[in-house]
Amino acid sequence: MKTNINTQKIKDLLDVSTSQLSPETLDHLRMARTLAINHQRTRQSVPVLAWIGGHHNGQNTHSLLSKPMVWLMGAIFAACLITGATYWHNYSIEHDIADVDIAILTDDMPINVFLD
Amino acid sequence: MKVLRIRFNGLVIAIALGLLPSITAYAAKLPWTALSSVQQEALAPLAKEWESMPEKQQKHLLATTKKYPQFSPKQKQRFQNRLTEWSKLTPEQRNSAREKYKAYRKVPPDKQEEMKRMVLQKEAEKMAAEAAAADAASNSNVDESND
Repeated sequence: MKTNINTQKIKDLLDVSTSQLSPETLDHLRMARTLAINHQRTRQSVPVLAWIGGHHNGQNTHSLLSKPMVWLMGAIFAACLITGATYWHNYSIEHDIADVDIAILTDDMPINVFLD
Repeated sequence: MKVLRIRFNGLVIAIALGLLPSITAYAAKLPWTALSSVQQEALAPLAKEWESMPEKQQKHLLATTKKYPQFSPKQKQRFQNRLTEWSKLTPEQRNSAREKYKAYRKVPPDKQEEMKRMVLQKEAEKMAAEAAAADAASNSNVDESND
């Protein structure tokens, strides 16, 4: 026998089935739905770089780095920044000194004029 | 995930270790043979004492050779003539000379020219006086030997 089932019929059937469920089962289903929605909201708000530090949101405890490694990474990054800045500062000073030295050593003016 | 973490930790340590050689290389002293041919030509008057020079002085001198190929022949000669005297100065004397040179460069160009003329004139007079004194000394020696 061929039965035509449309969406309205499915809805009606589900409504009939739901009305036959026990209140306890309905409560469980409601709780499960609430939990699922909350979980989805939390996952959406996880920071982009949470994986580095092992962001714990109740369910997700995976991380690529341990906490000491995060500190080490931070320290290395800071060290690189400081080293780079110091290197650039020294480089510009050395560059200025070299220019003045070249000028002193090649200028028409005799070198002894600038000596004590 | 654990394997990935171990690999990542290894990568961080490798980066840290990789930085060490560059830091130590920055402070290394250069032997004369490690210099390029241009550097050796420019610093030729200092070849003998190069190895005994402090690393900082070596670095400063090497920096001055960067423009050496662009110098005129006269500038090259001046550069080499002044190198020995310049390298014998103490770091404080060199710093003082640099400050004086910077002050001199701040003077207006016409004043600079005037100062240069005066100094060169004095130098010429001094050299003439020294040459005359040397001549006089050699003449008196000749006279004494004739007597």
